[in-house]
Amino acid sequence: MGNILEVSGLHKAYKDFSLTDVSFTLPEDCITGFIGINGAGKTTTIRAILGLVQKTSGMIKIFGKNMEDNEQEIKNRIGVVLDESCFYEDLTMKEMKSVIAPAYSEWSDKDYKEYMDRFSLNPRQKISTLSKGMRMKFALTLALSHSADLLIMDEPTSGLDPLIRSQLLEIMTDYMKQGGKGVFFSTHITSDLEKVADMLILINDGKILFEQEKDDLLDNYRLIKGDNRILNDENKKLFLSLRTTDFGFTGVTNKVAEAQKSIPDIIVEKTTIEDIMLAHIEGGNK
Amino acid sequence: MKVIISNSSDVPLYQQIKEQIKDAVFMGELSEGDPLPSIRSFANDLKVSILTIRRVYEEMEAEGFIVSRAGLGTFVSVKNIELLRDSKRRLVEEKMQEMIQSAKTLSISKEELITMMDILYEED
Amino acid sequence: MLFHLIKKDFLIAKTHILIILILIGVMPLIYARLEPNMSGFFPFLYMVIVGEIVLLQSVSQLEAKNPKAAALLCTTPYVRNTIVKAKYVFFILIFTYCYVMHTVITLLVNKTNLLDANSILMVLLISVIIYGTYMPIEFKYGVIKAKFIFITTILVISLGPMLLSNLLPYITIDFSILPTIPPGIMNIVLALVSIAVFAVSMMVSLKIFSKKEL
Repeated sequence: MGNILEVSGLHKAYKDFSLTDVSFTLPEDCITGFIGINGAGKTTTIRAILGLVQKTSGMIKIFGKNMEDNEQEIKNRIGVVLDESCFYEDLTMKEMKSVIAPAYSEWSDKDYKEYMDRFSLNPRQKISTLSKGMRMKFALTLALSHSADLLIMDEPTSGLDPLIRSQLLEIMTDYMKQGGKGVFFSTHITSDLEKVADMLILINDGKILFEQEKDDLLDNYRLIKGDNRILNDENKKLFLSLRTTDFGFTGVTNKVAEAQKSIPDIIVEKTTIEDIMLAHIEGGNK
Repeated sequence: MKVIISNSSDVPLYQQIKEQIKDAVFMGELSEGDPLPSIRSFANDLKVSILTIRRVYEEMEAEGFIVSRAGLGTFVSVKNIELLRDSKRRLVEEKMQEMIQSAKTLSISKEELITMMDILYEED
Repeated sequence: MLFHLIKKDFLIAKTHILIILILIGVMPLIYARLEPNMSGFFPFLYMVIVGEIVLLQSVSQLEAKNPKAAALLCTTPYVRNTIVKAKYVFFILIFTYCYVMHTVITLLVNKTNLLDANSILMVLLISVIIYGTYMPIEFKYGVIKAKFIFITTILVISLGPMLLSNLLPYITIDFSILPTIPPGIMNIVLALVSIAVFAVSMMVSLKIFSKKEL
């Protein structure tokens, strides 16, 4: 099983922000969620992967091929969804499609029509009159209508209502059923990922904090609650992040067995991806 | 074969799936040479990550319960049913050890323990 | 591929382009009426310059309204190089249109103004120099700044003739050589220089755009 996307040693320096040594690998047949708070570097990373910004250093391989040497071939197999303002507003969807479609050798008008129908989009409608949700659907239509093997999406669900978000997730799962595909999408709405992600990559302040299987993360981390009078310097170390109030403490840890041994009377609960994400971000600030 | 996973259980997902497949084999629902679902369809049906199923299959193959043939799929390999029975027995033995340890620490006699067990066994 | 990108420019700026193309088409008519004895050189020059620069700027400005759209295009197999080349092919298209319109109207109205190869090539050279200088600037600084730079430069240059006329008495270059160059060679020189400037400009633009952050 090959790796669909490999990023290694990606550096990009701006005046106030930089990506430092960003490296990760996306296996085939996986939906990978790229998570982080606003400003963490998700969009910059995606732009660097797509060649929209010049990287300072690093290597990017897609489908096992170097992006720099095989740009056109690779881009032919990628479907891209950037945020909704990446169309020419005055054009109709039909016109926009007539600009984009010819770029791809595997464009399928049949797929395009199917998606437009599925999303109830009228091609003669001007893009400026579309709602945010409809634009995202249109972007997705374009991305999915040329037999792409990798879908790269930058915050496709932000600002969208739960119904549209769940429709998008459903489309992603359908897409994966074909086999040999990959999806890489950045988001800070982690609840979407609970249902659909296979891998999770967390970025913060331009650095990768973890790259793990989602089920592993959810299996290993727990939310521990208990009496904070029992906390001491020793057992505090078990926690990735810890919050205390007058009434007790809440902590996130992946050393559950140890915690159960050394701290009596605790409540152990499953965490959400958001808990784990915040714990890593706060934990790094300890 | 029934595989029902609980999201609220403490047991990791892959573990739950493994156990239930092993149970199916042990109870005869699956026998030697029976095919297991493909990784992808299994993952889709159970609504778990493909990576989790992949791990289940890899570990079960390493433990000798299933075997994967390139291009053909994954199949049950029953020569290890004894191993399975053994490992289940061993699990219960381990639990019994813990139970006996606790009993000894709390000064509960063997007879009391057996009585308690009789009662609890009937309760289920 | 190039065709579709040029088509994109037309789609974005439909109305603008139509109006300007009509205006350009009308120019030779007006000129023929007003100055029937003047050579076709000036109206042609004017048509080409207006056509190229004004049209180009309209398209670029409308394009700049949706900056992220250009980014999306760069993620497609169009790749940056094709996008740059399309702008240069656009130049050729407009030039051809101007020539065709001028010739057609001249044939209909006033046969004496027909352009000869020399005039065409002169106009080509001048317009290639203007366009060739402008394009890389627009690629580097964006259409708003490029327009500013361009207009300021033109204003400064237009002071030039005044300065020049003051300096002229002191310059004694013998221009009498030029007319003795046979027109055939002159044309070839014009053509070659035009092609050279065009090619250099395109290469510079390609280089600039390949590094641009979107």
